Amino acid sequence: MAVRVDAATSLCSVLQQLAPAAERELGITVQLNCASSGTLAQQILHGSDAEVFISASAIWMDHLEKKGLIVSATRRNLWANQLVVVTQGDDGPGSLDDLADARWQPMAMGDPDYVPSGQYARQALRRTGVWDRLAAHAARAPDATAALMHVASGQCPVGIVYATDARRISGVTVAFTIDADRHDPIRYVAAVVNGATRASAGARLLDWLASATTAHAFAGAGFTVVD
Amino acid sequence: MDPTAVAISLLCATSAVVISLPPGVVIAWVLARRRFRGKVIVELLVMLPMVVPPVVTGYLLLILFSRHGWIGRPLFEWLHVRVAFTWLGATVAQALIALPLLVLTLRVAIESVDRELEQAATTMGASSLRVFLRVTLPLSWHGLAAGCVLAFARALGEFGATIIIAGNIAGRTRTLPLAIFSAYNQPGNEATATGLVLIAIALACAALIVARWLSARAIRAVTLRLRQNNSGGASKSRGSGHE
Repeated sequence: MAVRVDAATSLCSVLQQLAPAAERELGITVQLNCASSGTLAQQILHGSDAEVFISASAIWMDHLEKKGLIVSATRRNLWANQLVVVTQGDDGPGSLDDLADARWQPMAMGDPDYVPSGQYARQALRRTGVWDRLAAHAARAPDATAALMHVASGQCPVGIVYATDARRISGVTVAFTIDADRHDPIRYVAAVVNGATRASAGARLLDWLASATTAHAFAGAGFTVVD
Repeated sequence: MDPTAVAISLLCATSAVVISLPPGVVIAWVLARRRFRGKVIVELLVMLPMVVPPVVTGYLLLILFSRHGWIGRPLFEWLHVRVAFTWLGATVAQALIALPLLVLTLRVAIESVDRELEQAATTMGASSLRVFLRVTLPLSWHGLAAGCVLAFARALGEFGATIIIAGNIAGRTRTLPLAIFSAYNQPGNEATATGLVLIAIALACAALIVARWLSARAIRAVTLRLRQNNSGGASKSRGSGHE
């Protein structure tokens, strides 16, 4: 049975790794639709036929829940993540304040208007007091992973990305991890989409993703398992 | 490499040409052969999807075809057909954006058909539909074919409207251009992106070569017809196919 999972891009590689196990253990074929949580929420809002939505922030999940588009009873926080500043070489900025320096511009980040990683990054930069100087020089990517690519391909000297994404590819160096108290807790929130064709299979898949069976895969990819 | 993206692209672009053919042929004929009030407005409306940013087309289509849309809601409630975020959505978007190319090319071809031939058929008692199907269309089929190929090529390359109305769902609505965009945005996919880019260029080249060959034949056919007309002394022909 096929189950459509609309997931934040930062989760996609680990979900892809788990797909064969889901097929084996649950008999569920996972169809992944990866994009920024904002894009996915918008698609669900307009009637895409996803069974499960996994958002990188509570904001988009709240938005859908308010509109009655998710099954509230299935909603849960599953994993946590961190933000890091990445560069291409060994010589990187030492702190968020340093990012205001012209040599680190343009800085790559998810588009803070709708990409959660960008929204967390903007919170951190605002709390540090450098956002006003940086806003005009930020290269805004359509999702979290795309921001990483801006740095990996050398288009941007630095970028703010998820720790789990940064460790996945060679060629970028983590300059430092952003203090978690600088932004809202980064939580992946999952729920079954209301009115989904295969809602019960979606719920089973979600239970499985939240279980100890798969926890090691998420931990191995650098996510913190919550709850 | 993602072979499904190529397959989805070919499916959507072919379907887009097929569904844009009936309205395209009618509109091209009306624009070529009829004079009426508000013709300029029809011309403008047909051309609009080609000049307006594709995102605008995609956005308007999403409003019409989404779950709550004017068209999307009845389609889903009565026929259980979803358009938004399915390959049908991609097809509709591509059809709308490719339609102007089909109309433009076919209109020129129809205009170049000798009116006297049509009039002769009419005098002999043929209905206007029959005249169109038996005289006008056969004489302008090169234009029709070239228009279809150009429309197909444009549909293959559609990005902006497709990503809005169809999303970018791997294996379902991820067409070739969207697959390139996604490969570019994912780590370690440079080779995939390059491969897909080469396929896209190859498909576009093939389409252009075919379209060029067809329109060259169309122009040759028209010139031949004009020459015959002129030598026959009947120079009232409105033929203007040679640019």
